[in-house]
Amino acid sequence: MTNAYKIIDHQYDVIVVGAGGAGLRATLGMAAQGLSTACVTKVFPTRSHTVAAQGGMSAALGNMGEDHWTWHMYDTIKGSDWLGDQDCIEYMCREAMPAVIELEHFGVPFSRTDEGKIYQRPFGGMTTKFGEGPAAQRTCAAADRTGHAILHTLYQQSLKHKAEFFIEHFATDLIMDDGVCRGVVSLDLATGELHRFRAHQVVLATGGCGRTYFSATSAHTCTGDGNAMVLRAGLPLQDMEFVQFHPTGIYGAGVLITEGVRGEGGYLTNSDGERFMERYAPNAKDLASRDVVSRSMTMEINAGRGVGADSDHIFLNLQHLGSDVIDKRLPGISESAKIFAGVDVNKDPIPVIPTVHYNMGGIPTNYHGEVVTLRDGDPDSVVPGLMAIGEAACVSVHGANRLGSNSLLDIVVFGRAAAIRAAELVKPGAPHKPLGESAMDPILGHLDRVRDNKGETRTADVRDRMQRTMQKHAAVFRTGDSLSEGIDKMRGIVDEFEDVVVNDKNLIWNTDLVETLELENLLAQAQTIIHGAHNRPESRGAHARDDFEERDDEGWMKHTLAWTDEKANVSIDYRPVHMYTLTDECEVIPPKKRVY
Amino acid sequence: MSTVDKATLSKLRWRCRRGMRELDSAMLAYLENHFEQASEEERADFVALQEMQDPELYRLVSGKAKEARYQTVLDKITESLGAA
Ligand SMILES: Cc1cc2nc3c(=O)[nH]c(=O)nc-3n(C[C@H](O)[C@H](O)[C@H](O)COP(=O)(O)OP(=O)(O)OC[C@H]3O[C@@H](n4cnc5c(N)ncnc54)[C@H](O)[C@@H]3O)c2cc1C
Repeated sequence: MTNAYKIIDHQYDVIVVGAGGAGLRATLGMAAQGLSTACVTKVFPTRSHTVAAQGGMSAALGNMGEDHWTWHMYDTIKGSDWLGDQDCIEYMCREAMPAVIELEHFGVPFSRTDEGKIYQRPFGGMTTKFGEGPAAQRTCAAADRTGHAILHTLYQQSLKHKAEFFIEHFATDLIMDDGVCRGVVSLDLATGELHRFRAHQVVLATGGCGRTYFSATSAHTCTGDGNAMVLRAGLPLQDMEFVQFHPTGIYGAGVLITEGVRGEGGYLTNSDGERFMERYAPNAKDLASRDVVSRSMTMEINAGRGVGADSDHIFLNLQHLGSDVIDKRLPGISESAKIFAGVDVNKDPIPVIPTVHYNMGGIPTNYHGEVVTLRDGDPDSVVPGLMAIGEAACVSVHGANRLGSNSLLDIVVFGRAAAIRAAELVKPGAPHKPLGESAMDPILGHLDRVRDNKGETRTADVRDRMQRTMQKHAAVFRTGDSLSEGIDKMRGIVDEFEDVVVNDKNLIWNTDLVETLELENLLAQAQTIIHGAHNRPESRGAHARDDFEERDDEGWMKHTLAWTDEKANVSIDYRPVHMYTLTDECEVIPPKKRVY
Repeated sequence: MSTVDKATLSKLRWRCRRGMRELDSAMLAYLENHFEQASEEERADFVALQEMQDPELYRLVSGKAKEARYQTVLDKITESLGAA
């Protein structure tokens, strides 16, 4: 049965999908250069996940002491555990300064020093003098609402430059024609109508896919829809196995409890009440780095020493600190714990679990934001008409591990780069080639398939099984055996999707349908994550294999490319890491052991 | 109290999507546990909360700021989240 859809046509020079920091920066840049620009977003722009970022954005402005972009570049390459592309990292760190100054001119109210310069704070992994000097103060913030300030400012500026917004529109698929991207289709949630957007460049800025896991600090919107659209278009995702975890997310709620709690003397315990970090990291104990603490917690849970009814989490204790210390040094923590865990931190421990925080992997691009793929032996072959930026993209500037405050930088720098590139590629008002007869068939067929599924299974149940399987088998502690077991389970769960029923056939405000489309997107990405993890027999950055504890530069200093077929079976190939710089103003940083 | 039609509920469910994970949980907890039983006036307060920007809404949900008008809804949010 094919459903009749009402389709509304639009033509623009460029279309941006996503109105987070990345999408808005691109929208503004494209509109300001005279391109007719539309931005399609499933939630209101200032409700994009970027709003959650409070820590800030890095740039070697040197306002608080000596700094240089080459030092920032060194830190980022080391942080990436030598999986980042060095030409792209050079570009990002070099362009960081003008990108921040531009944001300031657009109206982002950065916090200031007494002399009126932008204030900069220290952040983990940011150093001076190529790791030899003291910690760098490199991170710019607008009080504790940096993300919101960036979104609000860029949205206002985009409107000023006459960009058009299609809000509460859910993009379903790219319009592909013989390997070229010619537009995108969206479902208007309020009217149930489909919109067919033609454009010379489509920019995917759809964010990360934290919701593939049970515990994620990211919002419900983070389903990586753009990544899945790329997979459906027959293109690969890159380095999806690299997922960053934060050790202390509140169990069940995912809400982040800052590292500061352990800094002030909070500690973790297992079901025996043991302070187990003393065993895993005798010196640093509870203050060991994020990946070490997350791994130790997971090993305790796997050994049957987790707490709670399902023995599947850990306790974070701060009762001993006393309410004075808690209120004075850890503002907001007692409220978060009370509201999201129902715990009085003066009396009881907070239930926590290592929680997904960031996706290093995504849609492979060059430093202009153009999507690339491996074609006829060329690993940098550009996909005409398609760009990707922000957490959805894998440029790759974060490699195997992202440094804090480098993501807001990434979204702004590459949002801007995509706009610059689009202005070079697209002539304003250039006519659109007619679409091939069959260009819409796969897109409508896809919608029909999901809507016409007949079965018994509920979307939420399949999502829950996927999230728990990924959390158990593809989280922090990875071994070949556990990953294989996870792969088998995921196969069954992916197949269950065929049995998921969307009861309501109506298209107006059909949140159930949208959540089912999002689930399908998540399943495909989960497959690329778990297969990529199984396929990579080494430990690098966020990907730590207990059966292969060392980094293997000889065999594995290369990017994973993962394609999926219509059954979400995964096939894998590789792209080389760019071990060269853009200019001769800096040198390639050769691989070393990553110790802090 | 009147019944709420499906499309309206579905729309409100979508608008519980926030940028911050904390607020996703908070808004959904109220919608799923209290909205349909609430008075027209209280429902209107919830819808007004949905229109706020995330930082403002978070101040209210976390109790850092107070506004008498929303207290009933906010208390119910806290109650449902604590029980989760
Ligand atoms: C709690 C928390 C704190 C953080 N703090 C920091 C920090 O201090 N510094 C830092 O650098 N990074 C931080 N990060 C990371 C950073 O916030 C994100 O990586 C970044 O904001 C991602 O921005 P984005 O523009 O790529 O995507 P998002 O902000 O996630 O935006 C995605 C956009 O795509 C749209 N979209 C998605 N799918 C569709 C679809 N199908 N159709 C239409 N539109 C769609 C959405 O509506 C949205 O507008 C933090 C992350 C978390 C979870």
